[in-house]
Amino acid sequence: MRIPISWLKEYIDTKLSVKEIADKLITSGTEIETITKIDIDPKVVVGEILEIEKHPNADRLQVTQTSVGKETLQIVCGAANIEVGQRVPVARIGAMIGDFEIKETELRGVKSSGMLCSESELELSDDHTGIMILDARAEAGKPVNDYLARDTAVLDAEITPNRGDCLSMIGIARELSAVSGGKLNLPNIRIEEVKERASDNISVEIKDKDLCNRYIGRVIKDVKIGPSPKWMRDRLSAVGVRPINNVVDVTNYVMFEMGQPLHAFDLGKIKSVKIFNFQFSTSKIIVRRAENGEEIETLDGVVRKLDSNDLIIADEKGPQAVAGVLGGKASEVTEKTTDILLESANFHPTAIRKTAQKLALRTEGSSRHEKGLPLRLAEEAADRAAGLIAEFAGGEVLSAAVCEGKKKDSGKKVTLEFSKIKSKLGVDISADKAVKYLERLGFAVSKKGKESAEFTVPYWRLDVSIEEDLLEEIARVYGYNNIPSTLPQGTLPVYEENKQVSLSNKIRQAMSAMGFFEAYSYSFASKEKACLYRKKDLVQVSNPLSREQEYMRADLVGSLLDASKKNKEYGQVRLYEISSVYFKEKAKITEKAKLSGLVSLKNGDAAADTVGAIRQLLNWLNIKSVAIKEMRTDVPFCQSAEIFSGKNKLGIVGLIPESQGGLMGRETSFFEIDMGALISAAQPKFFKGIPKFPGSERDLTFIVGKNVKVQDMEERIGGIASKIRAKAVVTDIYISRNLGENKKAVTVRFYYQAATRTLTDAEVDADQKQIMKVVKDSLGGEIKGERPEK
Amino acid sequence: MDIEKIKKQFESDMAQAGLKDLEPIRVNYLGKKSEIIKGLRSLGSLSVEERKSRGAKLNSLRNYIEEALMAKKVELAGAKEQEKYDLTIPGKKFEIGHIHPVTRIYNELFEIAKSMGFSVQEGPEVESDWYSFEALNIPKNHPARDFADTFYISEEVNLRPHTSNVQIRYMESHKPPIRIVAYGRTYRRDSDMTHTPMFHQMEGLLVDDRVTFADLKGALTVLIQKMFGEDRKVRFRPHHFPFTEPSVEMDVSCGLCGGKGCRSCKHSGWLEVLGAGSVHPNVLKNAGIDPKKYQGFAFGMGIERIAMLKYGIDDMRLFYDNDLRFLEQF
Repeated sequence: MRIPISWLKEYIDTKLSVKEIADKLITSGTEIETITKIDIDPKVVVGEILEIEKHPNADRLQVTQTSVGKETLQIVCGAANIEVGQRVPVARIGAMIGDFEIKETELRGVKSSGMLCSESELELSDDHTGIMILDARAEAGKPVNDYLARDTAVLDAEITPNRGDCLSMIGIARELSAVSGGKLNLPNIRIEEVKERASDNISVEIKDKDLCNRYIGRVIKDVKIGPSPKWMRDRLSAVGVRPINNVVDVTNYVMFEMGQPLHAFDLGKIKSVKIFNFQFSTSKIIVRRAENGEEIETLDGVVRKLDSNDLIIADEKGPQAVAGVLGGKASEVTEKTTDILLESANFHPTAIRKTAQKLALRTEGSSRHEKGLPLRLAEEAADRAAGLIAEFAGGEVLSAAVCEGKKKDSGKKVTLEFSKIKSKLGVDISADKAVKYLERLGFAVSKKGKESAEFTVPYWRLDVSIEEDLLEEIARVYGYNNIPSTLPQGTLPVYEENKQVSLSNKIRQAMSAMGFFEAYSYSFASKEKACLYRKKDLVQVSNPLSREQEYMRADLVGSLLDASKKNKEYGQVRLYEISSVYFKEKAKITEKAKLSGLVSLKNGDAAADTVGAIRQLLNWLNIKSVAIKEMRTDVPFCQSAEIFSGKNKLGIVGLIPESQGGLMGRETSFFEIDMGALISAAQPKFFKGIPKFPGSERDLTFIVGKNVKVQDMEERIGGIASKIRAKAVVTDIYISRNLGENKKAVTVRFYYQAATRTLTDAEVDADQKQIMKVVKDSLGGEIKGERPEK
Repeated sequence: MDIEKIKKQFESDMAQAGLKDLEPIRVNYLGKKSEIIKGLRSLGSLSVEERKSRGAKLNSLRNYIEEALMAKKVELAGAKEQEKYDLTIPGKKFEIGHIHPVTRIYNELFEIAKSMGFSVQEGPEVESDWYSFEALNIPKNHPARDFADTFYISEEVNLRPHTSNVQIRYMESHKPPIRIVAYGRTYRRDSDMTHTPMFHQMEGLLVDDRVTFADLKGALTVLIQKMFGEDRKVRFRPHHFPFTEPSVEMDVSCGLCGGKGCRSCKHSGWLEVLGAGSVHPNVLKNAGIDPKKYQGFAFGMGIERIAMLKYGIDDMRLFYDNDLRFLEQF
């Protein structure tokens, strides 16, 4: 909400500067987002136009001689509205107009020493149709600032949803008064009523009492519609409301002043009751739910379709306003209006919010209704506005407003135990001081004892209902920043290590070292991308922002593949992500944390990268008996294999062909591992003694059929028991015609080691022999490579 | 194999050798097929006694040859003009991976939280109405529940709009004293420069029999000053959240202008970093903790926001674009 300081000061005596006011409000909970100060450069001065001549070389330009006090300047001007004798703003040489500095120039051969300004050039309004004309009494040479009768600073405040009462100048003034001690000056509400009764002209029926708590109608007759006074128009402009006429402006003015939205109907357009061709002089207002499909043309000229969730103000004929949101065109106050029905009502906050939302019509009125309003305010605001309408539009206020609905606010009482100030806020504030703070905010002591006091909550504070609320009020006035900062005492709970976090960080260390970049992608994706490698029952978002974000991901591969495509300028893309996936299992939604990686290379063997990274990672995490096995998998779109630790399945690795969403001209490979499986498979690390005796290494090269799987070879070799064989590692795979058609050479290095002695050749040879035999017998092929030496 | 003979032969070869001859000599005496290496390899076939003495002799010969070769190389190369290495070259480019800024911020926060005795907890992202809203004192018609603001799977199931669900879940199963931080992905229907439909939060909760608003101030001051620097000032402003009372928003002084006011802090000198407050008695009650016996404080912050402030990132969407030009800066 915008708060023009000059307007605010009408309700509070304060000597604080604008900056101080803003600080006081900020530290007491009214966030001030910006302070706008429309200060015009003092080099913009009042000028008196002495002469005007036509420009010799340009039809549209005029050459003026303008006095700025002691000097007379020749200024070229393009506006048509200037006349000799007018006082106008002159930007002198060196003045800044926006970001633009005024310099001496020549316009079509005529020297010009300054600029005559329009309101828009001075950022005073959007009016750029002509030069701004100042008061005829303005003294030439004086800064224009001096002649703008206004305090130009405007605060832009963000009001928290619980403080609807602060959506008003008086509300803000109350806050400022409580924290600064400045005296409040609330408006005197006076109305002179004539004898004629409002109820002789209108009646009100609230049909849907659940949506309308209170409805007050005041009638003002014989008004003369015209512009409202300039100061009122200026204030409305300053808060961002377009002035319309004296009646509508008053309703808006009172809303900004007190916080109660009001609406003025042209009473003459509200249809009266007609029975048997007899026209009653009483018009009837009906507050009811709209019928499904009922339509109304609102003040903005749009025809809007309503339904039974929307509350409307209707007459016998049909809707006249969307309650609390916007008035209807049919009963709009126009120049011809003479009689006014002024509405001041209390509607159900949620109903108003939902209707405003549905119609995409968040108005100043609806935003106040939706935060909730006190009942009493409706009455006060109606009287205030009726008085102002009578004052500025003439007319007579009929006696006794028509009131329907509940009359009184509940009058809440809340008790404060003084000891809670210390035990909950952690600061010593005396009982007397606390009471004083609350009184400054409008709370009244209704009972007081030594240990505690009971307070009546001011009617405008709908947000206060429990003791903690009072504590917050006390802390606010005392100042949050004056409360000391201490550290929590008390026993520390036992610290629990988070396994998922610590494992994730270990994974990140290894992945970083291997050159992988950590990615974070949205948890939602399109249906096609939400589940790339496995058919799952997907979790669907019912109100997604777009189709691309309609389903929760069931695997992470789709996101990583997308990311790799975005980065195709890079020859090598290595990405990984640790995140949850979501799917339905027997209609229950399951979330599982996964680690997924993707390698996409322009030149190179992406699968070798991926498999190598998996093995390194699992080794780093001390996961034993790792095997990657090609098995029957349910991966429809690519070649894949499963990753095991012993019998436990950890995840999957696969190769994405170009035709299945891989990148053209690149090899793309991925893996996805279940974090839960990793957590259970990862073993704590234990140091294994460095062998004291020399070990022995042997290489064997098996020439086998191209289709023989390394996995099969490893399994066969692993199946031969040996106490001295420490490990066997495939060091090279070589495919060449020279080996024979469809052959490949697989070199395996064998490491032999005994803990307590040096090995003998004989025992190593024996194992090698057996290996050669087993591989040959089971997989065929022949053995090349080093023969054991004797 | 006569060890002495080999040694003599080596010495005579070396006497004539020039720089170019050294490598062939090395292969001849120490290469895979050399007698010395073969000898060393076949030690296994000998008896224990023999193995010991022969092994020692062969090893000492090997060491002698290695040292002699090195000495000769230095001697011969030193005679020539020593070629200088250009140490100003870029060197080999090692491919190091990068850790996402969200992770980096989380880990910094976890460390600080841990130092104050807070354990790290997580909870589901697809959540029931009770844990996302009802238990947190956010009643049925609250605007935060609107279809326009929260993602729904069904009427009763939503994508959690904050990590506060973890608070409730943890309190249900644990007795005070409680000190936890919850982390994870959260979802709100927003998308612009400073909002993404998915983002990350860290939330803290402390429940004990005597903990005050002053303690909240102290703990959060430590947290934020450790995060941004001890020289940064902090400020607390009253605010409103349904699940805390009193509620507070915390600002840290702007790091760019030192609090004087600049464009990045919208000329206020302050940057908002988190929301917090004393746990609302209804929330404790809903989670099965007696608000007459226990009280506490809670705080929550957006990780991306902290990262944006700390690293000067101006567009939140960058966090989820996975553009390598972004990721490689962290």
